[in-house]
Amino acid sequence: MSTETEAVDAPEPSYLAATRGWKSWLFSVDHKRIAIMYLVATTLFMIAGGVMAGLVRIELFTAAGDLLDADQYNRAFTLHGSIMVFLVIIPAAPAVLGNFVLPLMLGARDVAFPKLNLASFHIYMAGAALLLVAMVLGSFDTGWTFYTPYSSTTVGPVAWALTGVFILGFSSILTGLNFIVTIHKMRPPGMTWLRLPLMLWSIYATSAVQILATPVLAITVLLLVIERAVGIGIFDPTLGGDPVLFQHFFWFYSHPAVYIMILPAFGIVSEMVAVHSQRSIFGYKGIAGSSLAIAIVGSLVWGHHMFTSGQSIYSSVLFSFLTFFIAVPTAIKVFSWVATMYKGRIQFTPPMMYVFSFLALFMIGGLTGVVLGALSIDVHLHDTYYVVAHFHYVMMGGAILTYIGGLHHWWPKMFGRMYPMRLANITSALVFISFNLTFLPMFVVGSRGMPRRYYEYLASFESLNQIATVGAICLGVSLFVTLGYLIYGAIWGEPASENPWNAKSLEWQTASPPIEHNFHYQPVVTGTPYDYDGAEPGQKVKVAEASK
Amino acid sequence: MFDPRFWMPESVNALAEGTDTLFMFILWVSVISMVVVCGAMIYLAVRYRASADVARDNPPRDHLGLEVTWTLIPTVILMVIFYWGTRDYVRMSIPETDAMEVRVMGQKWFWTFDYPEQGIRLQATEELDAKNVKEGRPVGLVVPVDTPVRLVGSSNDVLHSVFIPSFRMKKDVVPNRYTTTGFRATEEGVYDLFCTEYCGTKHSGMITKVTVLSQAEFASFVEEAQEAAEGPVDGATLFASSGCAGCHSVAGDAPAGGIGPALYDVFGREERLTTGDTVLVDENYLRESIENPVAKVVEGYGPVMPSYAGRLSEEELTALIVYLKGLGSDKEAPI
Repeated sequence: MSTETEAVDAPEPSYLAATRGWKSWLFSVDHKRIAIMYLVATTLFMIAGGVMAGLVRIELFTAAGDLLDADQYNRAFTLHGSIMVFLVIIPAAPAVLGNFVLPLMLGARDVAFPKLNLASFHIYMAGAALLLVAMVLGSFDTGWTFYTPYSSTTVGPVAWALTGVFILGFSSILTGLNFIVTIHKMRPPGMTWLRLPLMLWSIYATSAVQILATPVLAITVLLLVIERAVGIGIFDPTLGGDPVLFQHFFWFYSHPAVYIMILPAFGIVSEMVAVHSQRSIFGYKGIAGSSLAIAIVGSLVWGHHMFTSGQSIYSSVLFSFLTFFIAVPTAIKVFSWVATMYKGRIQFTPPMMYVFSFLALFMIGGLTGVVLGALSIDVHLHDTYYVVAHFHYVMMGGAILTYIGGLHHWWPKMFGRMYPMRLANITSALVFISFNLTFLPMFVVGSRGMPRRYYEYLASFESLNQIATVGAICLGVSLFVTLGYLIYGAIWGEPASENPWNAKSLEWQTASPPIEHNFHYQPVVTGTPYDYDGAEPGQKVKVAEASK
Repeated sequence: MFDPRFWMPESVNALAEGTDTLFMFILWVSVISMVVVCGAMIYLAVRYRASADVARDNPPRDHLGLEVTWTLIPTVILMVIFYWGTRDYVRMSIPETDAMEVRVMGQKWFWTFDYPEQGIRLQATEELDAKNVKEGRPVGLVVPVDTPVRLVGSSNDVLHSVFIPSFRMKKDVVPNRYTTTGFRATEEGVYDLFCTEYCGTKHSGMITKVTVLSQAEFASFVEEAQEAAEGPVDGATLFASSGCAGCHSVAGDAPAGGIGPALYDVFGREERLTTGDTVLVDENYLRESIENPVAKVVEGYGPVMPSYAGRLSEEELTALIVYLKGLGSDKEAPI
């Protein structure tokens, strides 16, 4: 950190204090304020989706249906899935953390198209509003997957929900476009592609998938809306349509969407493991390259959701092969993260606790994915609770908990204050334990044969379901504690320094919280973002010659 | 945990032999991977904790040999698993040529099993299953032991899926097309059959049993069923066996609501439809509602009933309507 910049920093207000009034937030084109608005919105939706999950779990505490009736139960799990996928996991990491750190990591003033960025947020809120309208109008019971012909025939405001998903897709596409252009065009002098922080590599890969796959979802839900509204037969067999075609279209987006959800987590973990081990990342090229490999191959494995759907055996074999192929780059990443700890100076900070938690949970999620990728076993496990457990390990244990870990990592930068660290460490352990308590029993109950989306189930599955419900309640409480101390930290916490973790990437080399335009000077990069061993000069803010 | 029985009920399908072994193989691979990776993580976290006084000079940024090794080993193991799973899947998917055929039809929310060679039809509704259990008769899908069976599935409304955990077998049934799968049961007994493709309100009630009989028992079961099929048609029995009772109550004191309208004293009633029109419940309306249920839906209910067009003979339709007419009237309906 050069002393010249500090002297100028002092008088300028942070982005949080620069302007006042709700309009200065709602119509702000500042990427940091947009990120905070996304943070508030996704957190509220996460609570809503969590409440739905709570209803589902409490209903399943006993084998008989009691708390809810069957239709209410079906709506609850549909809302849980739709809210969590479309309103929380897909936008959370890119739109909150990506928006906040991407320009900062590039030493830039903002993203390439700040107004488009704000438009993405408004489009997101519009899509979310339509989903809320669907909820108010009596809600829908199709499952988040909207499988036809059930979704084309069931009563309820399905068209509202689908239109909401359609609109949300545009927010996702525009954000992806914005990020790709920003990474291409706004890197600072000296930041070659191989000096890009790994967070940006994974956001780059995520954005590419968002741009390429989301239009397919848009087309699919539009076709479904047209089918429901006008009665043109596309997916509904009574109108001459093909319901399996819908599954192909749907998973053509929704499998890559899994990578939209998990790739940012890979980036977050890469940053956190290097910074909190205080050493350079191991296998930078392997991690960056495997993100791109996952983005490409991940677009070609959608058929592994359809092994029992009646698609041809040959398709199933091909999709199974590609599915195993995608496990390789994933394994490379995990090994590289662990190897990064070798000869490190490991800090037991909350972000590092979330790295440990991620590695364990993501390993379980990944390895059970290998079980499901094997054709003969998938026939048995498909659509059982084993699958439910598997994707919660990946989506919640992998994506959501790492996003929360990332919030812990960048929180002092976002708000200039620190949360209570000790409490955060203890709570992260509780989250980890209760997460496993919730989802480990589901593997067993699933392989023993309990199908998913069951309102009532056989009495022999009851004890395992009760463990899962107890775990879910503990998990909910732990997450509320997390939310509580994060809010407390943001408002009343100890003031945080510019660079509390001794990180080397650019976002840590401006004030916490940053000033409105991020940096006083154009930063110039002369090394890698993970320079801890002194082999290279490091990634430093330097006063550019011109502005001196 | 290392006993397959902890994870799955005993496998009694000769075509799915390899599945459990592969499952346990991957479980072992997973456990070893977890121990190695998490063990390394914990070891490194403790050894290189910030307060520890250890050598930290020249931390490696990459290591080609190591990276190639941890790319190749998983690749090889994954390819073995791919081959193994695919081989077993293909064996399961291509049913044996001399197999006995059973047509499975799914509809909201019960199963129908047709045996074209034997000329019999078995229904698996909640009511009928309960009755069969009480009378000690075989329940649900009834098949002979040690005989290859080919299941040809289709659906009468939305997607459903036949799942028999003990057979490690699952196949979606889809409207307007046939999906096939097969099995050869190796043990007599009664096993669970679930619907695993979400299909609405009573998805979790769409469960029945597979009863595997000895070949001699199966032969006499078929004979009995054939005789019963030739007997007189009884509306009340049809009502239970066709799945009507799953959604429509016939009791006089039935509470309002439910999935389908209550049918006690339905004949001659004026019903308000979802379109706002009213309709008089007569023979023709009953017939239309059986054959094309979504045409005139009573207000307050959804268009969820599957069509019975072509599934009931003229004689059966008439018997059913006569039964419905008799509900709630004091005199026994004339047949």
